[in-house]
Amino acid sequence: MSFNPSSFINEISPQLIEKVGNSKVLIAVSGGVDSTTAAALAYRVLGERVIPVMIDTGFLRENEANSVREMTRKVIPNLVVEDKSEEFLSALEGVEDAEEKRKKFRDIFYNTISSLARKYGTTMMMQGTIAADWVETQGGIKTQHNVLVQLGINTESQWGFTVIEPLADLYKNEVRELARFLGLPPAISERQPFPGPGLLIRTVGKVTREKLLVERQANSIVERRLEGKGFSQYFAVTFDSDCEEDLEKSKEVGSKVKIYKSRATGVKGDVRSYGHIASVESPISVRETVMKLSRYDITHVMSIVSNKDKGKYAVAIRAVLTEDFMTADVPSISAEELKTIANEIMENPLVKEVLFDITSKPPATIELE
Amino acid sequence: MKIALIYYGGQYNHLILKNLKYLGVEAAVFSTDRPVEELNSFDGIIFSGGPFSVKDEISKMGNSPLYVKETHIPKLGICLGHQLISYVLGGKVKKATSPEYGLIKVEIQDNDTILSGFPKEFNAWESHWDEVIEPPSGFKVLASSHYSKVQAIVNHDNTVFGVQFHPEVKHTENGTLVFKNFISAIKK
Repeated sequence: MSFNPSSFINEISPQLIEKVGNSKVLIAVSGGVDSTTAAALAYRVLGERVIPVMIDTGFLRENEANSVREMTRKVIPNLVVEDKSEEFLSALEGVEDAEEKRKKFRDIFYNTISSLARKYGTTMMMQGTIAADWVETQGGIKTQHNVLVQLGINTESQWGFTVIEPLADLYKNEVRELARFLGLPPAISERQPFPGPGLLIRTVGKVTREKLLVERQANSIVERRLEGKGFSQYFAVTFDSDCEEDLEKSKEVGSKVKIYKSRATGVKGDVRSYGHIASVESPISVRETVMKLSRYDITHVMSIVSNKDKGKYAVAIRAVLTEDFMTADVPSISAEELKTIANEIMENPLVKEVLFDITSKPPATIELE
Repeated sequence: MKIALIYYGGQYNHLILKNLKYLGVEAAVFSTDRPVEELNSFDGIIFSGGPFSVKDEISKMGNSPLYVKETHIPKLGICLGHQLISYVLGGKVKKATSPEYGLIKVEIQDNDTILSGFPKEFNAWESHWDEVIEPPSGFKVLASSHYSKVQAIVNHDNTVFGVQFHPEVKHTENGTLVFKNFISAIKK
């Protein structure tokens, strides 16, 4: 026996009808599979009372708002896009710590939702939070922006709305099944996940507009080059290239190890770890190298694909294989293919090197922050 | 059949619940402040994973030691649960010299009971700082990995089991078998 979308809908529909009653409900849509499926489900059950809103946070991918509108035209014809990019950008510029970024983003996000709810005359909001989101947040691994009630946050007194999360018990693979059942196009049901805070948490470390631009461009290159290869998620991250060689660890793994000043998030034995990023010149055995280095204050281990002497930023290519995003493995991508991607990214003179993240989850998390 | 699932806030606790649901078994989360007698209405107990170190943080695990010692229904410990059962019943648990994260090759010495149906060697996913280095007396070791020798244990009458790896995650090959085998053990 496994997940059955039809019995799930039968189970959840009366609950939704009871909660919403005769009111309207605002639904936050990012264009990802979770929120879009939640919106489609809400439409099926509640009809025109659903008000779908997408917030442009300034951390979206290239042309994202337009492409989401295109993709969802049939299932969410009345999607409203609210451009709040300047508000988010100016508030988050200069913030360095991953958790601080996530929490700040969350606050601005729900302040925005709150004023939109008032504007549309509702005190209810729905979102596509799934099990992996609240599990990770409650466990203190990282604060997913869309987890509030599970943390004991009273949304009614803080923002004036109650929260409905119809997908909270599901994992990504189950949401995809539900999406297919609801008739969403493959462009949505099979779409790779994109986190709510978007490129903010892929612009690792201190946020600057310049670094964000480098990241947006690199992310487009990686997505374009790795699309359709069967990876569950694939993207680029950008961080400062400052690092130091570690002789002792180099000796231990049999190849030159560099430790970066930048930190990234990991999960080791159910505990959050905010350790350093490390690169290895040419790892002999990937798993053995990652295992050895993850004993230290290191969460993401990367192999070097291409580098030059000068440049402010390191860009890492990240690709993973997973169904439910609770654990993830790293696919092998040929050196030649990685090099081709790296060459294109290196055309940006600000990029000093391109790396390939070789760390599974655990000990790393999929995203870096 | 009804299984009590003891939660310790581990990343995969909720996945255990879903595995059992899809196997058609009723399971309920049981918090560690509840009296041990309440477990008598259940047919089995699963102790899940979590962030604690049993040696130093057993006080954070509530009545768990009583659940292990004073109940007479089948038990399965996963990761932290495996360490808890071992520690409470007199085995040795310590900080691992090589903590294991991600893919680990587990080699089976004995396919008995809980590992019934598994191939001789399989890929499992793990995430642990501590490890069991000596099982409690009366227990035998069923499987081991290169770095961690006590990967699965069973007691003398096949009612108490422990696995260091996570059968509830998709990356563990045939992980569901562990739950199926545990359900069979309860039925016996």
